[in-house]
This record gives sequence, structure tokens and C-alpha cells, in this order.
Amino acid sequence: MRNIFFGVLALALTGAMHAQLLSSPGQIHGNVGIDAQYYTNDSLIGAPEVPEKFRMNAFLNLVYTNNNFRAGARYEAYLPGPLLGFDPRFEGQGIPFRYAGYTLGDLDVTAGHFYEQFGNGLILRAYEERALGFDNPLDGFRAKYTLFGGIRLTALVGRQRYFFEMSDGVIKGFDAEASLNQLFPNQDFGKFRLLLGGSFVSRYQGAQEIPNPDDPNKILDIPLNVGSYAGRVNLGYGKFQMNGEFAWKINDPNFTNQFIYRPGNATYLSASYATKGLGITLQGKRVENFDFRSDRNESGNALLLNFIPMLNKQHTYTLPGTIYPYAVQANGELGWQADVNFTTPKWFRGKYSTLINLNFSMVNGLDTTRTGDRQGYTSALFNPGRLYYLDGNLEINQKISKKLKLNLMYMYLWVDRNQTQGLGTSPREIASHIAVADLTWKIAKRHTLRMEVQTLQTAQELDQIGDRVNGSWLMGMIEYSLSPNFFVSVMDQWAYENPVADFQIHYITTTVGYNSGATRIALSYGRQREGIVCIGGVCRQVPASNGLTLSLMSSF
Amino acid sequence: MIRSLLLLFSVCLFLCVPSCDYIEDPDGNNQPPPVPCSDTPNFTPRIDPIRKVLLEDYTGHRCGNCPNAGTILKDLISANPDQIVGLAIHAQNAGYFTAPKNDGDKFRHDFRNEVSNTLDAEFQIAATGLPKGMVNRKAFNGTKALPPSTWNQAVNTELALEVLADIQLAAEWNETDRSLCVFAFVESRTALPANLKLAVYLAEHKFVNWQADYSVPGEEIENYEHNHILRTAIGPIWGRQVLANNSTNGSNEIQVFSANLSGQSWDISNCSLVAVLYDDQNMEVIQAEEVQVIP
Repeated sequence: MRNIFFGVLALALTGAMHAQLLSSPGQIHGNVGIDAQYYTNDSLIGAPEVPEKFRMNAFLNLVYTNNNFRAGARYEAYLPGPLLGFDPRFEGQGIPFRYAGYTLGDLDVTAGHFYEQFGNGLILRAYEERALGFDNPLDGFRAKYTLFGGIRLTALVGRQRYFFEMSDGVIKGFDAEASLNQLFPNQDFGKFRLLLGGSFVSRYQGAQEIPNPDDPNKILDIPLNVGSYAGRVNLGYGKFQMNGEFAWKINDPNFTNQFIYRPGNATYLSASYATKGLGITLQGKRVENFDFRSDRNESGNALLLNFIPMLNKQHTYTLPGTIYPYAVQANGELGWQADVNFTTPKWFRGKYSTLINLNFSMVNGLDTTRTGDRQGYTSALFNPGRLYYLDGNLEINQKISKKLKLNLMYMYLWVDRNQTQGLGTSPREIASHIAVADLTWKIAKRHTLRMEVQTLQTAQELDQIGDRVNGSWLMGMIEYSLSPNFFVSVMDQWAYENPVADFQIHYITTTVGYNSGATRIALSYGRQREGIVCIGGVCRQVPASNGLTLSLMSSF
Repeated sequence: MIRSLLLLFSVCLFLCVPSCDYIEDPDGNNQPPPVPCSDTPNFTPRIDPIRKVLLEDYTGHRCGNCPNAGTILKDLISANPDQIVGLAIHAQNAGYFTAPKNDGDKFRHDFRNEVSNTLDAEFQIAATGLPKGMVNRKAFNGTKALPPSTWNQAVNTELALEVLADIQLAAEWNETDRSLCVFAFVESRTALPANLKLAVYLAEHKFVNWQADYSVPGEEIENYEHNHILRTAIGPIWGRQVLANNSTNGSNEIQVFSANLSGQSWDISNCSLVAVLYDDQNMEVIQAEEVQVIP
């Protein structure tokens, strides 16, 4: 397969050169990334045994561009298997991403793999998130065409990447987006901006015999073509901006919705106002039976075709970010978020302004009633169901002097851990208070010291005594950097209030790193706590591990 | 301009219009013919029924710690004769643990099935890691997903409760066309909630196949005896409503379930029927029963 690809690429390049499309030698760019770990046994922290001791995730991206022509490929290797916490189906190596394309005037064509997003991604978002082990590009053909300077059309057909193979399902998609201001550039609309869009995505997957869960002696009549539609509007007036999208999916019985035939829908609304020193955002969403994949039998993060935006703050500090983060529930949730950014005005502050961020978000399930048939359930439009997640937080960034900068954060977090982390349906409610202090001290030119102290305070779950995340936590980190090349840090996370004394563990990690130009290399040694990594509401479980980790990233 | 709009319209039409299959009748027409059952047998209410507890063992043939859980289930059955009804559930959501291998000679049998997947999708047990179990589908200490070390305590708690209902089963197996009729007699022993459902499952025992087992050298057993394997539901996975109109003490009802198993290779002489009576509101089991298909 790979040989065929490179053969075709060589032929294409040769042909293109003959046709004098490529007037110069062109340019090659790329980047390489290696994450490797030597694992040591550590049963105390619950680290799974790794018989091969060593694992590595690595990739090399190559991109060739020449005028309007482009081609690229990515080689990936997960040897002898992917790092712990990444899907074991990645095991192996190959070229799962390769493409060629060109732009000719208003037309742009890509053959091979490509990433794409329609609108907010409610019915299509093919993207890569390396930290999650998430990569779902489409492999096929895509054409983009711009009409009258303001209407952008995208049409595509392809199969989705499935580790080193392709999905069973074939995806067709079409998107049209029109910008009023670009369509009529000579017209004076004042401060008014308008963008309208509509999209359609369909999955074809062959027939299979799936027993009716209501009566396994009967075979379900499965829809082979599942279509979804979405319409969106983006309105702006001066400092106000509003973005709304509504999406609909026809009957899509699949593994994640327990093969029910109820159509799905998703609504997303966002309004914001921004002026000097003040930014306000209000967002809301309602999602019902909207897990859309290129294979009706898949679950987890595999072959996800759409993306439901997360309406919660993406916390970057360790304890708020990785102990109880929120994973989007694509088959039913009702959520909203308010976010205010504020910079203290001159008349109020001292020498340095204060940046304040106030954020509140809340997610509930839907209020549903079972119908007892294959339609699954009925739902109330706005009535919230069981509470899944609530996060209220305040963050203050203050520069104290030329050499000192302080960030403070307080957060109240309430979470139904079972529901949000896919651990079960029975409620497991955890309320916690989290506080973070982050001080940066510029000791001298090029020498910086950064210190973090974090704590998560919550009641012990005495009925979950086997859980190493149970109870309150303390975390401390100190990092010294000699810019622009060198840094070293030591971090300790301490489960000091776990109900089991043996699990009151110090997770200590030391990291040394070196930056040179576009290359960064880091070595870490120590314990990695079990947890969950979420980016944009898509999550990956990370098991505990202990050992030496090498991370290298370089681009050229 | 008109030409461009026509182009846009035709691309949209070409890609979008033929791409939706609306299903009016999800059950489909591809149904096997109904199984003819003979007349309903007579059941006599038992004078002194006993409480029986359902223990669902979420397991996997490539789960090396699962045989230990199987032994705990076996010991519980020995310690409480006729009072524990076991079901071994191999759910797809357990991922690697239950997935069959596509190459080689080992672990090729696929224990997973739609019924197991559906039960797991409701209770989300496999996602908590194997082995885990549910006792009467109730939460103990805040969770339904119980590690094997806690099964004994949960079973004893449930066995100490009073008998709320009794179930009697009778089976009619036709070897020629491999059809199965199940007659279930349900009798309440007290006033019961109105949302009761009765579901009937088929479990296979003494099925010899590969099993991972971390407690043995090589960590694999070729001739492991798998028991209580949930194979299918007889009738709807979630069963049918029973005693809907009258749930006072002594009220009873007979339900008939049937299935054609001609497409399956299970050894019926090693199969049993498991009946589960549960409250549809909270899914908790109030009584269970098990009989051999061929006594």
C-alpha cells in the first residue's frame, strides 16, 4: 500500500513537472515527535505491568509544497506498543496519513487524507489531538470552491482513519457558507456582520444482522444511509457577536445509544461582548442522541465523526485539570456557561492592572421518559435532568513588580464522577474546593523561578476505599528556567487524605528540558498518577505509571 | 451567476438527497416464523418459596483475573444451594478482555452478544474494569459494580431479605427444529410495585475453551470450563411487564416466551434458563430462578 502511494506520488510529481506546474524545486517542511517511556513496576500506585518495559509513540510529518501544489505524509510508529493510556489498537507502524492536492484559482482539491470541520463541528469534525491519541481524518477526495468571493463550498467523500486501517462506513459531506460582507464588499453594512452556513453529512455502512434488544429473535431493520443536517448563523454588530447552530440526525441505531431509532438533535448558542478591559461570553447547548460515528458499532473515541463543543472552562492546572474533568455526554446533556474577563481600569489599580476571570458552568442530563419501544425515550425540551457537573471558579492574574507575577485561582467543583467519566450509571457525587497559587519570580536576566501550590479539598469516599484518587490532595511544583534553552522542575502530588494509609502516596516527578531553535527535548522521571486527560470535552483515561520518559519535538 | 448556482444546486442534490434511510418499522420484516408452543402447563403455587439472588459476573476470556471471580461465584453457589443464580456476561465494552482473536488458534470464540452488550450499556459495569459483578442489580456502598471480594457480603445481605415473589419455570424443547418455549409462572408473596418485568435468558455451561488466568504458569488455560455464559434472551431483553393489574399477595400470572435457536450451535443439554423479576423503575431484582432446559 505504502509503495503504491509513493509510486503514485512520484508519478504525479513527474507528470506535474512535465506539465510545468512545478516551476521550482519546491520546499519540504516537516516535524518529528517522539514520546518514549521505560516503565518500572510499581504496584502501590496501581501501575499495570508492562512486560516489554519500553514503549514509544513517534511520528514524522513531511510536507512538500511547490507553488499551488502540495503533498505530504506522516509515518507513525507505536513500538512495541503505544504508551500506557493510548488505545492498544495503535500498535504497529505505518503511514496512516498521506495526501496530495492543489489550488487553482477558486478551486482547491485534496486527494488522500484531510482534516475538515463544518461549522462548530456538530455533524463533522475530522481533526487530530495528539495528546489524546485522537486522529480521525478522512481518506478520500475533497473539493473546495469559492463562488463570488463570499460563498465557500466544500464537498467530500471518504472513509475515516481507524488506527492503521479504515472505517467500514463511507462518509459524504457538503457544506456551504456565505458571508454577506464578503459577497457585497462595496456595500456599507456599518458594524453589521452576517455569515450563514448549512451542511449535510451522511454515512453509508453495509448491512449487518443486529438482534432487536426488545426481542433477540427478530433482526433490526438497520438504516444503511444515515444523514444529518445542520444550519448555522454568525451575527455580529460592533462589539457583539452571536453564533448559533442547530443540527439534526435521522434514525441512527448504534452501540452507544443501545440501538434506538429516535432521531438526534443538537443546539449550540454562543453570545459574546468584548471591549477594552471587558469580555463577556454566554453559551448554551442541548444535545440529544447525537453520538455520530463512521461505524455504528464503535464506542469510546474511535471513529467519532462529530464534535460537541465543551461549555466548561478548560483548566490547565494539574489538580483541577486532571482529577475530575468533564467529558461531553453526546447522547444527552443540557449545559450552559458564563465567562467574564475583566481588567482593572487605571483609576482603580496601582502600577499594574489585575486580570480577573470569573467562570461558571453547569451541565445536566436530559429529563427523559422511556417509551418501552425502539424509539427509546421522549424528552422534555428544557427541563434539566440529573446534575452531571457544576464548576464555579475565579482566577486573578496580578503582576506585583517587574520581577514578580502571581496567579490565584479558587474553584468550586461538583461532579457526578460515574456519569462524567463513563464509570457507571449510579450517581457518585463529589463536591470539592480547589485552590491554586502560581508565582513567577524573575530572579535575574534569563533566570526565572516558578512555583505552584495547589490543593483539592473533598470528603473521603469511605465506600470507595480501593480508589487512589479518593480524598483530598496537595500539590507543589518548582521550576527553574534559564531562558531560552534550559529548564528543570520538580513536582509532587500527594494524596494526603486517602482513606487507605498505603494510598497516601507522593507522586514525585522530575523533569529536565532543553530547547534549541525549533527542537525541544525533555526527560522526566517519576510517578504518574492515574487520571483522565480531557481536551475540548474529549477524554482519555491515563493509568498510573512509573519510569523514565523522553519527549522530543522538532520541526524544520 | 446562474450557471454557478446551478452547479451548487446540483452538487448539493447529488450528495445529499439519496443519503437517508428512514425506518418506519425498526423490527424489520426479516423475522423468523413464530415458534408454536403447546398448551400452558399447570403450575401449583409453592407453599414455602425461597429467595434467590441473581449474581451477574462481568467477565472476559482474555481477563487473567476473571477465573478467580468465577471460583468465587462457584463457591457462593456451593455455600447457598439453589439460592444463587449466576450469569456470566461478556460485554463488548470490556474491550480487549472480551474481544476474540482474529489470528492463531487461541481465544477465537466470541462470547459477546447483543444481550450482554445491552445489559452492560444500561449498567455500565464493564467500563469500571473486570472482573466486576452485580448482585440483584442493586447498589452496595454506592455502586452496582462490585469487586468479587465483596460479592459474599452483598449476597448475604440480599439472602436475608424476605421473599417478595416466586417464579416457576417450565421448558419445552423441540430438537427437530431447535425451537424453545418457556412457561414462566410468577406469584407475588406480598403487595408489589406496579412496574415489574420478567425477563428470561439462556445460559450455557460446561463450554470448554481458552481462558487467560494469571494464577497458572503460562497464564493461559486451553481447556477452561466456562459456565453461566449468557447466550441470548428468550423474548425481549428487558422482558415483559407482569402482575400489572394486581400485585397483592398471592396474585399470579403465566407468561410464555419462545425462540428459535436453529442458527445457534449451543449445546442445549448444557443450557439453563434464567428468569429475572425486577422493578422497572430502579432495575433492582426482587427474585430470580434457574432451571435446566432439558431436566
